[in-house]
Amino acid sequence: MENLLNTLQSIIYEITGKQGITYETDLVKDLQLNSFDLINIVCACEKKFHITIETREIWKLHRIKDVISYLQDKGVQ
Amino acid sequence: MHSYPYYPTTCYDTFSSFLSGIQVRYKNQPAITEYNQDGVPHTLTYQQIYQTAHEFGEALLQKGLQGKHIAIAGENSLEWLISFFTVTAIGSVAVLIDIDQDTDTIRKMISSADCDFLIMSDSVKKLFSKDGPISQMANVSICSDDKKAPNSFQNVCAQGAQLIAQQEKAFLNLKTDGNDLAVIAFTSGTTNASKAVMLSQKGILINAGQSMAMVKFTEKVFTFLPFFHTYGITCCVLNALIAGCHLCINGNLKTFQRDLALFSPGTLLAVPLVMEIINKNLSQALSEAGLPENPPEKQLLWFHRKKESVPPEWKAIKQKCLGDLSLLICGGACLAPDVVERMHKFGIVCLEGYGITECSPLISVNRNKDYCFGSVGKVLPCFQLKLQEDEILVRGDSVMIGYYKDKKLTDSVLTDGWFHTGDLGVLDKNGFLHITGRKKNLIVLKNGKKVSPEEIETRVSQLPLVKEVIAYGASIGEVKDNARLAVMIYPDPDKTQGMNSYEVLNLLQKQIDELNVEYPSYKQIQLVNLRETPFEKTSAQKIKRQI
Repeated sequence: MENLLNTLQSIIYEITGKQGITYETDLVKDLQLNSFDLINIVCACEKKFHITIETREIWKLHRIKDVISYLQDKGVQ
Repeated sequence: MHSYPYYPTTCYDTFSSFLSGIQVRYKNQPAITEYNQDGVPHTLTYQQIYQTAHEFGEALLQKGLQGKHIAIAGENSLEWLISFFTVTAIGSVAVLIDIDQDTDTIRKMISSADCDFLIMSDSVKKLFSKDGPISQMANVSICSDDKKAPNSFQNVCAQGAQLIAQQEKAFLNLKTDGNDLAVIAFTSGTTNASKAVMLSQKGILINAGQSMAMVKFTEKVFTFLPFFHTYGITCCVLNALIAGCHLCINGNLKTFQRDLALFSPGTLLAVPLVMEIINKNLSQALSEAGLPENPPEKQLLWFHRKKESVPPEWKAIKQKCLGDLSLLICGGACLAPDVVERMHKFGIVCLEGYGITECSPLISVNRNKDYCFGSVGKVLPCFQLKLQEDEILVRGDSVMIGYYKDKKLTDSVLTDGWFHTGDLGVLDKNGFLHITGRKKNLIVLKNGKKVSPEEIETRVSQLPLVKEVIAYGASIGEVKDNARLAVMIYPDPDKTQGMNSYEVLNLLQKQIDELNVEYPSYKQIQLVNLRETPFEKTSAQKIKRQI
């Protein structure tokens, strides 16, 4: 889980320049990301983990911990 | 800047005359391109669009679907568009389903518009496979992705082609009327339910045709705006085809930037958020190259009239970030003036327009050589416009027939043909319309989405701790539509006895987070505030909205 958090931290930093991300960080409320930032993060995750994330699933992912549990459900370690 | 004659255009009366008209006129010119997952383009010519719609139409007519209400639910695609052209051309009613909505709202849309039939993309089919109500209602589903399914788009077209080969001519012999109902589109209501707006064949096509009298597109046009909104279908697709443009469509944010670079259009139809992204990319590229934010003060015409004198490093950045773009059309929400001015310095004309679903939708737009920053342009010739206590009222062929099965609501906004837009505005001495405010309470976000505060309030007021609530757009920038969805709550004093404000806020925040899960991102509440006293009320005991 910590590995995933580290990976997400570096993906988000690369795309948005935002740091200090924890499990509880809310992508929209705390990081003020717009839909294009979110999509860029999703695309980076798809590429990194070789998975596909349905567009309609994206708005269910609020906090970093939601993203991690979604990735784990998809078999990402 | 001065007014000049309208551009030549064609206003079709019916969708069948539109389809045959564009085919005769532009024949084998490329009409619509879309890129697949791997970035491979698929292009249909004007002739092929007509041919496919003809085949699909013969098949739908044989299924007895003339005059029926047919829901179209899916993301932007060639199949979506052919379905729309066909349904309207055979005199049926296209019910445009906003697939960004939550499941329950989509279900309500389909049932409230009395849909007999559903055309949907595979992604939507998956969404509803467990729930069932849609598949039970629909006689058939047409899935663009699943070519093997008996009712796949390709198979239905093949059935139609077979009928044509057998000399079936039902599609060719059809007679439709311009005043017929063509489309039911949904728009944010002031209650939980979206309003079902009825638009006529002529109303939509005149609006599309006249938008081309106002604005001249370049040859290649790009849009990713959803076709289930009238802005997407009328002002991006129908008008571009009437003008014979080559349109590239995209419906997926994941591939939007890739497709934009691959197609390299001259015209982009967008919402403010997209303009901001482009602006941000431009800033980043300039900063990486060690260049200033804007061309030097004395060289503001570099990208307009002195292209040959533009230094190569500036040219390269413009090509990288903006490609061949020369025209950006923006609607849906207010545009930040600094973005418009900056784009202008890079040789790109940004034209802002104003529309409303009930008007098919475009009411006014700035023109290529007659524009005023900060205004929403000049009124389309198909409308008469007047201001009543500052509210914008319009009358004309493109005004809706009414709200579906809701005479009371229709009568509340239509008086002697005059439609009350609920927006406040002024006309300046040069005839440019400026929006100054809203009479209704909609929260407009910079991606063009509208949220009804009443809908949010109904949702939040069901929480046990909430006594009173109002929803509003909390401003996060200088532009009025740059807002976050927020709620101000007066907690129920009885139910929060013994709790401090911090505990109340924490608990409410948790409950609102749970509510948010059910809703699309733009309807999610991002900010929760508490107040210690009840809201001020009107004499009718309604909460006064000023915060």
